[in-house]
Amino acid sequence: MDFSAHISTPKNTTVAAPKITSLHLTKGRLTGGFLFFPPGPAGTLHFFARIGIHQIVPFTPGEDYHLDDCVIPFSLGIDLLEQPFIIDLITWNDSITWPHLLNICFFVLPSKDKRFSLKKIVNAFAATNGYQKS
Amino acid sequence: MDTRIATILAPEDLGAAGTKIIDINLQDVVSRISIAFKTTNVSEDMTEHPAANISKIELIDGSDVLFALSGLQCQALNFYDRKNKPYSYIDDIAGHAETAVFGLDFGRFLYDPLMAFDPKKFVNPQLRISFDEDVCEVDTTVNECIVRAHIFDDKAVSPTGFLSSKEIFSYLVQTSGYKYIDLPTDYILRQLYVKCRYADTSFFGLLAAARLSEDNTRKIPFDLTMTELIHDAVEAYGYCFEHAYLNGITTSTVFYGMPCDLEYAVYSPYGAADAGAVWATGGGKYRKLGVSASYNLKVILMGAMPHGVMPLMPKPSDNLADWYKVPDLGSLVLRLKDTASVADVATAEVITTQYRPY
Repeated sequence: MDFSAHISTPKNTTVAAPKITSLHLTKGRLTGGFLFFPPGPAGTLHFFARIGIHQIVPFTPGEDYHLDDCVIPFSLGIDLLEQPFIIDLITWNDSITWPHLLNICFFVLPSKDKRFSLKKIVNAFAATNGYQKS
Repeated sequence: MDTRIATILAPEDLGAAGTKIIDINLQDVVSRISIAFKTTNVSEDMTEHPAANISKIELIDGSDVLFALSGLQCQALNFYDRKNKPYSYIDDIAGHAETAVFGLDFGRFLYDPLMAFDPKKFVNPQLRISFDEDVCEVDTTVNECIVRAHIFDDKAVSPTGFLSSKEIFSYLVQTSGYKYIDLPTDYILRQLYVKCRYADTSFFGLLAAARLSEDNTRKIPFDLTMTELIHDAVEAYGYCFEHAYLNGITTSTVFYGMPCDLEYAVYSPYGAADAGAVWATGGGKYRKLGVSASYNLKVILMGAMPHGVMPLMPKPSDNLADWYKVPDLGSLVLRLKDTASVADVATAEVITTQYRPY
C-alpha cells in the first residue's frame, strides 16, 4: 500500500514553527518509500519525518533532507504496531520569495495479524511469553 | 553488593548542539539510566528551563523505540513516578553551573526486581541524547554530560518486562473544538499524560477537558474538565518543589521553573535584607526583581503540573493487576478539548507509560 502526500510549504516558514502534515497510515510494516524534490528549492526546502517524538526519515537525529530536483528512495524496516498510526511530516522553507513543493510516499505492508494471541493477553505479566512452564 | 552504579558516559563536553549516540553494552539488568547535563552560565539571560537543553532522550533497538521523551517530559515523569521528588536546582548567576538531571525509569521504583531493562534481550540498544547547550541560558559554551546506569550486580533478577514511556502524539492547540487521539492498546497502560506548556499561559487556558472512551464510547472511563483532573492529581501526587539561586539585579528579569500551575514563589535574600519580589506569570515562566546586584535571591518554587504535564488516569498502585488492561479492548480514544486564546502557538503532547513484557 502506498500512502502519499503532496506538501506545499509557504515562504518564510521557519524551523522553529514548521509546517506539520500528518499522514495517517495503518498497522503493518513500513518497508520503504520515496521523497521527490521538484526543481526549484535549491536547498531552501527542508524535510524530515517522525512518529511521535521519534525521527524516522532520515533516521539520523537532527538531520533533514534539503535537496533539489531529485528523488530520494527510502529503505525502512519499521513496524507500525501500535496506535496512532500517524507519521508527522515536518517541512520548513528558508526562501523569502517562493513557496516550495515536495512529494512524499511511504510503502506499507499491512499486517494480517490482529493482535496478541489470547494466551498473551491472559498471561501478560509472565516472563514465559504467554505459556506455562511444565 | 546487590546493586552498582555503572558509568556509561564519563563527564564529557558534547559540543554546542547535536545528538550523542551511545551503544548500551551492559550485560547486567538496568533499573534506571540517569543523565546529568550541566551547563555553565555566561550571561544571566535565562530563556528556558535547564531541562530544555535536552530536546530528546531516546532508547532504541534498531527501529524499535523503547523510550522516547523530551527533557522536560522526562523530568515531569520522574516527579510523577518516584516516591521522592527528583533533584532540580536552577542557578542563573554568570559563571555558575546549572545541572538538569533526567532518569529513564524502567521499573515501578529504583531497583524493582520485577521490572527492569535487560540489555541482553535486545540486539543493539542505543541511547540517543539530542541537546543544545544554549537553550536555557544564551551564550553558554561549556557543558558536561554524564550518563550512569543503576544496575543489579550481585543480586540475580529475572525481570518480566520493563516500563516504556513515549510521546505518541502532538498537535497545535486551537481556540476551540476537540482533538481525537487513538491510543496504543497492545501493551498494558500504566499511566497517560498530556503536556501543554506555553509561557505566560496557564495550562487551563489551553486545554479544557479530557475524555477517555473504549470501543467507540461503549464505555467512558472518565470525562472530566482539566480543573477536576488537577484536583485529583495534586491530592495523589502532591506539589513539586524546586530551588533556585538567582541574581538580584534591579530590573525585572525572567527565569523558568518546573511548577507550571498553582505556583507559589517565596524567596529570601542572600547576604542582606531587601524588598525584592518573585512572581509567576504562567506556563513555567517567572519574574524576579531584586534590590541590588550584590545580593542574590534564594528561591523556593512550589506548585503543580511539572513542566505542564498532567496525569490523566488515577495514580497507579504498585500492584500490576490493577493497571489498565487495554489489550482487552478493541480501541481506546482520548479526546482533548482545546480552549487556547490564540491558535497554533501551543503544542499539546500525549505521553504513555506502558508495561512491555519480554
